[in-house]
Amino acid sequence: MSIDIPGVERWHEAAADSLSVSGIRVPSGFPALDAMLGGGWPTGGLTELLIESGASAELGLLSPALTRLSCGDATADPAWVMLIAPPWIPYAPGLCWQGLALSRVLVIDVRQAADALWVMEAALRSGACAGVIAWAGAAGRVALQRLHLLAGKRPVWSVLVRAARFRYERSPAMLRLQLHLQPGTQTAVRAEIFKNRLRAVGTVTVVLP
Amino acid sequence: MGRLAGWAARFTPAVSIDADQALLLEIRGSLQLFGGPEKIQALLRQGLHAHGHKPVVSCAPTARGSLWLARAGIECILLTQDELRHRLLPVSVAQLGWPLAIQKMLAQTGVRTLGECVRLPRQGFARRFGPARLHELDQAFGRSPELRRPRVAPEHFADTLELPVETACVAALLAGFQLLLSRLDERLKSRQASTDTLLCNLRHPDGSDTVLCIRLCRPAASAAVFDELLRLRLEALVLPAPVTLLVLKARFSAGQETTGSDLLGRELQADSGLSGLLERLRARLGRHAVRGLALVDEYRPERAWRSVNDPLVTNRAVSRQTLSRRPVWILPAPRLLQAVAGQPVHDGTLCLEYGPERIETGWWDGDDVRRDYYVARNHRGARLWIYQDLRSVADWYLHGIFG
Repeated sequence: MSIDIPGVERWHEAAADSLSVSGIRVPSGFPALDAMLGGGWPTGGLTELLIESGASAELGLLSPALTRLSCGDATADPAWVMLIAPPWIPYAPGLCWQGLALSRVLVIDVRQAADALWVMEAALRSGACAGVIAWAGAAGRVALQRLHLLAGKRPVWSVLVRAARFRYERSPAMLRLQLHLQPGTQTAVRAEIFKNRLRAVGTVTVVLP
Repeated sequence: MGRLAGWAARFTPAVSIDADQALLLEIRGSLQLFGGPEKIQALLRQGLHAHGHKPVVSCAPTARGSLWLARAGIECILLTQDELRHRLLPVSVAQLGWPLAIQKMLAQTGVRTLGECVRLPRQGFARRFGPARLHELDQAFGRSPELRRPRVAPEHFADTLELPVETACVAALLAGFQLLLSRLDERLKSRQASTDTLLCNLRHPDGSDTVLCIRLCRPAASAAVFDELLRLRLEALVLPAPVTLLVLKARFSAGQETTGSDLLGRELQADSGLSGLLERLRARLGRHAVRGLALVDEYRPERAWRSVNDPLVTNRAVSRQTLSRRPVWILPAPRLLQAVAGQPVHDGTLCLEYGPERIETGWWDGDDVRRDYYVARNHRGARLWIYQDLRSVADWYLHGIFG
């Protein structure tokens, strides 16, 4: 059950922000995107990535950040990343080609779409993973709110990948962007950032390797 | 009785059961630890009361002596042979649990107490009442040693709980299992054991069972970890009929894993958070829902990887291979594509961008492939990994997706 008062949501969002341990950002690997995002993908809050149906490029876009988390760097030890309810089979040689450390990748298959959110919630609650990517369908606002608040408690990079038709549903996510594939000889993606807490919205085009 | 013996094993490893009515505990070695026989007596009385029994607890220098004192209903703590002798002499022979025929013979000869027994000539006593009785007398008064085989606790746990009403209500079933789990917990503590597999049988009125198996990736020394896993499984369970009886079984593995508070403690703790999470996920989604990924040294793309069932253990170090470009997604099986004028079509005509990469291998195991792989672009700009099967009539297949 939810009561639809715009001010209340603002208050919730402010609360989530003050809870957020964030400030920590995971560099996306694309300088133009990092500039828009203030240094990289935000942790400590939900990121919502909207994609067109069929083959899309979300994993290519997320891969450099997943690589950074799973391999570790000067400031952080290698950490676990979790792929929840992926639409196809994550192909180990492909992930390896992108640079991910396979020994730090967990794949969770679900039988019902609703389980994806449950898994994400459990993962955020445990704080055992540094990055959690979930492919989810319809989600209630209360469920999203809970995920967002949970994500705010730990510096976990949490991404919810959903179909583009959910763009006009309200969402508590602190960052929302839609991906558009660009026809052309390069694998290019136009990332349309339409909600970017405390930062400017806008569109940026990145070229995937 | 076995359950009580298991419980009493916390006081001493030497516990034996006598004639299904008495427990004998050799506590000489445990006096220091528990702070004296009075403390042990109080703890035993308390614990047995909690199990719903009214015990007579007596303590004496000989096992037989304490058994006979307890049978006679005398609660006492005796530390020397003289005290024991003094208390045993007036005990009636009718209370020792000897066969009725012998009791009758003793009564006919006018012998009523142990004191009168001891005063009889030894040879005559042995001839009339059997050498075994004489031996027992000697054991009780400490004149001959008594060897008792301590009860060996079983290597597994099995316990049942009959439900007062048949029910399919998750809360009621869970409450029942929690009772069984608390018993398991007690056993794990007293045996200093741990367990990694739990079998839960739910018996229906027609005698059939629904079985739940819960496995952990590392043994747990406390039954508490099973609590939430069991709840998740019960909630997901569809019962064909109400349940009348619960059975809980667990196999012990040796030794308890101590939680590290040493230098490695941090790492262990972090991993246990993850293993706890993976166990919760497995309990709800099934054992195979959680997996890791690993490379396999193999040219056939569908065989170049494998799932790792226990990503925490086996997947520690994987060297990164140098690879040619591969997609991040693969289809469960290659999908046949339509072809128009020899060109593959998928959501519009595909434009071949890169290739061919010839993969020709596997002739030795009968699953040989001969394929030309291409990176293709569809009209939306998505990159697909397709191949032309050179063994057939050059059909096109979609095998993977980039991006």
